[in-house]
Order: sequence, then C-alpha cells, then structure tokens
Amino acid sequence: MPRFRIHHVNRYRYAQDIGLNYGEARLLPRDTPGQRVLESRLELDPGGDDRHDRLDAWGNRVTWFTLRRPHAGLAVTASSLVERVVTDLPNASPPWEEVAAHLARPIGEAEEAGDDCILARECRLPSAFVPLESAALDYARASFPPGRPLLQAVADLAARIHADFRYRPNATRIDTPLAEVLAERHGVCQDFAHLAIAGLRGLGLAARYVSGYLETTPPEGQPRLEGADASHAWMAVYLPHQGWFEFDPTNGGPAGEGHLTLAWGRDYGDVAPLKGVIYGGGMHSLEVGVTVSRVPAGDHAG
Amino acid sequence: MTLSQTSLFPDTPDYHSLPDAWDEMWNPQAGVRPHWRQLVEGLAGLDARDWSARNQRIKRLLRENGVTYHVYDDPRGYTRTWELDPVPLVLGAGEWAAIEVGLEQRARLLDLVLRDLYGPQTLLRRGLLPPELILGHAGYLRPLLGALPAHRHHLIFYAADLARGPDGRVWVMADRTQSPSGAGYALENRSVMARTFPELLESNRVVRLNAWLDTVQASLNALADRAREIPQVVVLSPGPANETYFEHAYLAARLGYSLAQGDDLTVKDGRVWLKSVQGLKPVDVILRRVDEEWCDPLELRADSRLGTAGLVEAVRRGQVALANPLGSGLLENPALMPFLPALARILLGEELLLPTAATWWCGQEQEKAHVLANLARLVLKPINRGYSCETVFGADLDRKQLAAWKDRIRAQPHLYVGQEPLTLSTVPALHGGRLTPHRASLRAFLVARADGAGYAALPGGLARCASGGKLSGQRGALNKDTWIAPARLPQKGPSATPHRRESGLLTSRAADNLFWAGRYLERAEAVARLLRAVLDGLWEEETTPGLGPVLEALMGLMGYAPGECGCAERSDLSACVRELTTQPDRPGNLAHSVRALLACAYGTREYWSVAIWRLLDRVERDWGSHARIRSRGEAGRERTDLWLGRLIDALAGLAGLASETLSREAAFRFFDLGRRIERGQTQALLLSRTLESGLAGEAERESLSLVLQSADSLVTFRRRYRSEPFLAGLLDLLLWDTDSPRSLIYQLRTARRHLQELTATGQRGRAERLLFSAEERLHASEAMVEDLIVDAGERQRLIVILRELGGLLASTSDAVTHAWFTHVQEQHVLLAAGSEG
Repeated sequence: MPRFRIHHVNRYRYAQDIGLNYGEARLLPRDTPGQRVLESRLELDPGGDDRHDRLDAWGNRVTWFTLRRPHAGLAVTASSLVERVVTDLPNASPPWEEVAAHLARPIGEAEEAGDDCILARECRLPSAFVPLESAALDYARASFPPGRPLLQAVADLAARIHADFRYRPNATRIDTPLAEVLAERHGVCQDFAHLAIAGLRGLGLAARYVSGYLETTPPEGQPRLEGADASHAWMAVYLPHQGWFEFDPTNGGPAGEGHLTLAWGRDYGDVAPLKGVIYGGGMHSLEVGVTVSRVPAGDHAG
Repeated sequence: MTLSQTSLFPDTPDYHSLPDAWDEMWNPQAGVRPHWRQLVEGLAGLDARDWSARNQRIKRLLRENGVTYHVYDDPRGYTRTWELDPVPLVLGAGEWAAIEVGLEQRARLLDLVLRDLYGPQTLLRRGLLPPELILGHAGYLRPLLGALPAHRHHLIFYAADLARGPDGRVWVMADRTQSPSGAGYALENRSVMARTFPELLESNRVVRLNAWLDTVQASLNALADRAREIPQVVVLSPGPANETYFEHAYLAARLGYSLAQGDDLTVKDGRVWLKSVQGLKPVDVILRRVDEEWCDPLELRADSRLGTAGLVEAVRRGQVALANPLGSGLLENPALMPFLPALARILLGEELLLPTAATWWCGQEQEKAHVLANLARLVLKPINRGYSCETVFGADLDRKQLAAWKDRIRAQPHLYVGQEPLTLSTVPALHGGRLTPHRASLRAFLVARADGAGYAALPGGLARCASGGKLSGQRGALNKDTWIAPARLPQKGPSATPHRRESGLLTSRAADNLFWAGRYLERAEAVARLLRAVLDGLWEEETTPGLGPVLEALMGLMGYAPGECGCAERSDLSACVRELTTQPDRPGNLAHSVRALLACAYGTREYWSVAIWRLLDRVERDWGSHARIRSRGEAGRERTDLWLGRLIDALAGLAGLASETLSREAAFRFFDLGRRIERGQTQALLLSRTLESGLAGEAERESLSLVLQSADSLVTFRRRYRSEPFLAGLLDLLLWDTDSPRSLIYQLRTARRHLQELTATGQRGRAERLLFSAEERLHASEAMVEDLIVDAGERQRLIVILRELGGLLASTSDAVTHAWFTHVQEQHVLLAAGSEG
C-alpha cells in the first residue's frame, strides 16, 4: 500500500502589517474508503491566537483560526502522511437513466436514508460554482447514449474533457463561469471538475467535487520539481448502494493511486483549501507550494 | 352595500363594500359587525373639523417621532414618513384568541422543524420532507449544521402574514422567520393612535400592547449563556440606509440595548465583543436585524460589509446567542407550507389549526403538473426571497411571460411554488377625503417565552392595506393600527415602570456620531450666523468697510480662498447665497454641515428625544423649502434673512435641548465635546482674522460689532461695557472671560472637563494634555492685551497664538478620535487558494 508525504505551503505577504486576520483552512486530509491518514498537522507562522479544529457538514476537517497581533505575512503549512488503498472500479454498473430515476424517487418512510443518500440528493442540485448550465449538459450528452452503464459513460466524459480542453494554468480565475470555460475550451482542474459535475447534474445524476493532490510523475530523465505541484481537484459520481466513484477530467480517467483526497463538497466553494478575511491593508500576494512525494517502500518510519 | 345609516365620516356617509370580498367592518346582511360598533359610533361623533385635526395630528406625531421607512432607490432619500390610516383594523377578542392559539402552534411547529433540520435531519431521512426542498433553499446555511445551541426554543421571533378570504376564514399567507420586521412599527402605530384617539381606545377596551416588550426582553435575557446579572444584548443593524432602520433604533431605545453595526463587533477568544467607549465589552445576545447570509464574511457571504468575521464560530462555540438564530430563514420557504399539516401531526401530535394558503411545490411531479396547467390563475413564487425573480400573479402575465415562467419552472422546478390566490378582505381606510374599502393583510408577531412555555403573541399587529387589488412589499401600502377588543379582563394602567431602562453601552460608533453631531451643529450655527452678518453688510447700499474680518472668517470656515465665492462683488448676491448654501459636497458649506448634522443625528437616533427630533425635522423641512426658493432664484434679502434666522434659532434650540435631555453620561459628553472643540476653533479663526484686518476708526468699530454679532455676544458686550465695541473689550469677552459660554477659555475648560470625566482611569490622555497646553497658552497671552492697540508686534504674537490654538484644537479632535472611536479598518477577503492542478 503506497504512502505519500504531502507538504503544502500557502504564504501570504501583505503590503502593510495586518493586526487582525480570520482564516478557515481545509488543508488536513480526511480518511476515505481509499485512504488512511497516518499523520497530519497544520502550522501557522506566526502562530494563531485562537484555533479550533472541527469537522464540517460533510465530515471534512476544518481549522478555524485568528491572528490578532500585527504581522507582515502569514504562512499556513500543512504536512501529512497518507496511505492509499486503491480499489478497482466495478466492471459493471447500471444504465445511467436507471440511476437518475432512482435518485429522483422520493425517499420512502420505510427505510431511513443514510448520509450518502442525503448527500447524493444535495449533489444533484445546482450550486454556486456549478449553476444550471445548458451548454455543459449539451456537452455531456454525447457520452450518455441511452442504456450506457453509468461508470462507462462518466469515464467517457472525463476522457472527452481531457481531449477537448486545454489545461492552461492561470487562464482562469477561481470564479470564471463555466460558460466561459466551455467557450474558450481551456481551464484548470477545478474548471474541468465543475464542468463534468454540471453535465452529470444536468442529467439528473449526483456528482460531487473532490479537492486534494496529485502525485505528478516527472518527465523521464528529469529531476522532480519540488514545490512545483499545485493542489488538485476532480469529481465523483454516486451509485446508489455502492457509493462514490472518482474520475479526474483533467487527466481523462478514473482517479488512481496518486489521487490524495483533502475534502469533498458540492463544488469548490464548499472546500476551498484556505480562505481569510483581514482588516486593514488590502494589497497582498499569495504564493502556494505543494510537494507530494511517494515514500519509498520500507521507509515508513516518518 | 352602503353604510348610510351611520354617518361614519361626515362628508361621505356612504361606504360601499366590494361584492367579491369579506368586509372587516360591514356585513351586507346585518350592518356594522358587532366588534366594530363601538368604534363606528365613536368615529361618527367626530365632525369634519375634528377628523381633519386628528388626521393632522397623526401625521405630525409620526413625522416628529421620526417614523420612517426607507425605500431603496427612492429619489426622496432616507426619510420617507410612515403613513398611518386613522381607522384601525378591529378584531374581536374571541376570534383573536383562536388566531393566537393557531399562531402559537405554528411557531412551536416551525421551531421543531428548525431544530431537526440543523440537527439530526430525521425529517429528510424519513422522507417527510423532500431533501431538495431544504437542500436547495438559500436559507440552508451549511456552516451552521449541528451548531444550534441547547436553548428551549431556537426560533425566538416568528411573524406571520395573515389574510381573510371571502368566506371569513383567516389564512396564513407567509411565514416570517429570518429576521421578522414590523413589530416596532406596530408599537409606534399604537402609541400614535393612543395619543390621537385616547377616548376611543378607552371606550373600545382595546387590549394593550405594553407587556409584550417585557416578554421580548425576558426572552432575550434568557438566551444568555452565563449567569450574568444583566446580560449584554445588542441590536445588530445594517445601519441607517436600511429600510427598517427606524425600528432597529426604536427597539434599541425601548429595550435599553446598544445599537450596533457589524464592525462595532469583533470576535476574540471565540466570543463576541462590542467596541464601546469603555473598551471591548462581551456580548451575550444579539437581536439580529442583519440578514443571516450577510453576518459573517468568513463563513457566509464573503462580499458582505455588514457582518462580523468569526460570528459563526462564536455561535458554534455557544458563546453568543442570536435571535433569530442564523439559519432560521430556511423556514420562510413557501414550499414548506403544504407539508406543515402532516408535520404537525408527526411532531406535535396535533392538527394544524390555521389554514395555510393552498400551495404546490413544483419539486414534485404532480404538483408541478398542476401549477403548469393553472399558471395563469395562480400566484407564482420563488422559494427563495429576493432571488432572480419576485412573486407574480399569473393573471397579470401575458402569453410570452407565461411561457417564460413555464420554462423557468421546468428548468429548476424545485425553486418554485404555485399558490392559490386569495381575494383579500377589505377594511375602511381614508382615501381622498373619504372612507373606501382597501384590501388588507395583517402581520402578527410572536416571541418565545423565556420559560420555554410556548410563544407570546403581540395582541394586535401591523395591518397594511391598499386601495388596489393587491398588496405589494414596499410600495404604496397604508398602515393601520390593529385593535383587539374588547379586552375581557380589566386592564392595568400605564406600565408602572416605563420602558426607559438603563441605557446600553455607548458604542464607539455612536460616540463618534454624537461627537460629530456636536461639531456639525456648532459649525452650521457659526456659518449661519456669519452668513447673516455678511449678508447684512452686503445688502446695504454701500458695502460696509468693516465686513472684512467676518467675511474672511466665513470664507475660511467654508474652505474658500478669498474672493472665490464671489461674495465680495455685489452684482449677484443671490448667486452668492446659493453658492454658500447649496454645495453639499463641500465641507464647510452650510448645506454640507446641515446634511452631515442630520446624518449624524439619524445614525444615533436612539439617543434623541422627541422634542429634539421635532426640531431636526423642522430644520430639514425648512431647508427643503428654502432650497426650492433658492433654486427659483427667489431668495431675496428678506426671505434669506428670515430663513437664516429660523435656522439659527432651531440650531441653538437643538443645542440647548440636547444639553438638557441627553443624560449626563458619556453620550452628552461626546456631543458637547464636539461642540466645544468646534466653537473653540471658530472663535480662534474669527479673532485672528479680526486682528489681522488692521482696521481702524469707524471701520474697526463696525467690524467689531459684526464679530460680536456673529459670536452672539453683542448684547453681552453692550451690557458689560456700555460702550461701542473696542478691541480690548472684545478680546477679553471672547478669549479670556471664564464665565462667558462664548469665550475660548470656556470652550477649552469645558472640553477638558468632559475628557476628565470620560477617562475612567484618571490618566491624562493625549487629548487632555493638548487642551491643557492650549489653556496655558491662552492664559499666558492675557497679559498682552494692554498693549494690543499700540503695539503691532504684540498683536502679531497674539495672532500666532490664536493660530496655534486652532491647531491644538484640531489635534485634540484627532486625539479624541484615536482614543475612543471605531477605527474602522477596511475589510478585505484574502485571495483564496484555488485548485490549479
């Protein structure tokens, strides 16, 4: 079972000293059926004055903090060690229409619905970053001919997004609307995840957003660039009674061994790795560095 | 049907009820309904003059009490006066008792629904509420899930919009749970009616409202977590620009709470603190009038400037209670209505008592089909208020619009409901000098009881009516007091302890506003006096040569370079007056000072008495009427003089009243501190310009006389010296005379005394040290006065000292600002780390 060490630094620099800073981080990975978190810690530099770790509505780990002493910059650093347990996708899955119909049925009084079922209902609805977008639905339809098994269809959609869209860092902002991504045919992982989610929801399916990291394999013969990696995002689709299955439209296939999960929600807005409000100042910059390295077998001591 | 038997209104005895509606007063078969008879007889006893007088009185009381309802984007600006119809809505005590029980049940039910949805969500898991109905509503605040505190009630305030159908049944049209507004207006309506028709309230045995606020206060106090003798409660308001700001200030004043805005609060160590002039004070309970989404820029809307970062976390830690709690807007979802009867059976084991307007949620297939098939007949509502579209009546839509609605509903059916339209009952209201039937609705208000035993309803409510067929949100409705009568029990006299409780903490913001109200009041008065003196001089056949210093001081105060305003040229005096009084963007201009004074007063309205409000109202109206005259170029000498005189009187009256009615606490001290600093600066400026002018002989006497006149000290001077003005005497009176409230030394000493009182620690702050050194400088200069007339050098030194004093006072003002007032630091949302991978 492969293990990965994650080091994620977010460094804010302010044009002038800030005396009051409130922040919320979702930078500590969660346990999932495919992942065990062995170690994790979050450090603030300078240290926070008040800090509270909790789980949010979806079970993600959240750190709320404040800094009340003047500071010229803030570094939020998360370090974790996680173990991946990869399971293959099932070979067969029901036709996608069947799943959509199942999700549209009222919840019966007889059997009490579980968390996943409620979350699935929530993940069928439009959300702030994934509004109802007919162009996204039109795009997705080509992957969903009648009767096609759900997972096959989603895999096809992910592959098509990978093929049709150019990955261009900095081409889009956090709030770039989907319509623009569709029109320009480029974006980053977050845009592609939102696009796939919008298509699936448009078809009446339940899709959620996953925030995390990707182990990037360096091109052959070149050294691995430390800190050059960014945080990653992909999506998952819900199969009743079986759970959530993850696909990565940026890379055109199912999520694999190197996909390490931080948190999930309806869209980026629910799981932003780091957000904050400051008083005073205004001009500031943010520099992010992510390193995901595989721990060689037998070197698990930490 | 007509009501011709009784002459309800002398000039128009006929009241025609409408054929399609239930009339609240008139029964076509039996005449005036029994519970209206007493009122109708009472009103019939009034003659036309009486009617007119009472109606005028209502208007005057509302205006003087500053009862306003701000309509966004209204060209008339902030202060639209509330319109109250003289005829109340009367409900029989028996019928009301049934309504009350129904409302109370509904509040209990909604409270349980709220508790479940932010807790175990059994209603969703068992399929009792479709998840989309809740999860797709904007009021479902995910950061608050699992964060409801362990109070007996979560829903503290509940309001319902009620209407009566043609068959006489009362229906619930809408539930208000987010931050229900209107109770303050209802209470104010009653107090105006009680002063206008005291004998009718008495003879009708109208149930009184005064006990309800006690229940509100007890309920809010009970929310405080810690065993504190007097919990700290604040009213959180979006500020004076909000449509119901009057009510926020009204409740704060009536309940003795501090009125705060988002940046008056800060979250530290997981709890909420109020920035007061006594430092940070812990807040236990927040009466929330900021819409929930806007309350915390960190966890709710990032673009909000009305909230307090960290508030959600403080709630989560149980360190502060909000009424209503964040997340309660979820219950305003009209799609919940059709599910309530079943929920009442399951959660309460009771049948729902009050009927709810028949509502179909389009998130269900059959219901959607029904709505689509009956679109042109139904009322169409989005489940989220204030989103993409508003409530519409299908009957008002043309084919194209109907098609657009169909598309909208088909695209996102879970966001819409269709509702059976109700033909509203009518109630007589005064319109165009006669009583005509108006369509009516009633908002009723409930508050959770402190002991957990259900809810208490305000015995009455806010009735609104309109002459058209419909009632729309903000526009065009007329308000009515609501009378529940006759009371069964003998009523207690006026509350023995009037609702004047100890005042809340003085927030830094309020102190800031009071300080500036003082400064602007003084500035406006000084400018008006100087202006009058200048105009007096200018309007003479020949320009008075002694005008120089006063004109210079005026220009200095108003921030003009000499000659810039054109006053020195007599050719177009009206233009000059216009220039000096109509540039609201120019600090120092009279228009600016008056407007800024009104804004500061409006922002601290919970501190001002009715009498002061009356004067402020007069200033505002005078200003408006003269502005019209000025704009027509009709502001001749006499009119302008008269107007300035009235303005000066009103401003002086305000200052006097404020000194008498603001209690001698911090509020008064900040207000008076502002006045003293401003007046000190004005005097220093005026006198230095006088010394600089170097006038002699007749011109000097004339100039000194004008200076004394604009300092309101001519009479004092004459009485004291029994002579024509002379420089040494003038300086003595206006600089060093410790007894004269116009002297500079008096301003410095009074200001310093205020600062001493305000500084609890006894430590001398920077502002106080500045004033102390100003006093020393002024004292030292007193010895020079003997030589002033002969020695130009001494005169020059005094000019320098006066300028220094002006500077010291400006620094004092800065020091006060720094020491006490909110240093509002601009709030910024940090760049969020996106997922770039």
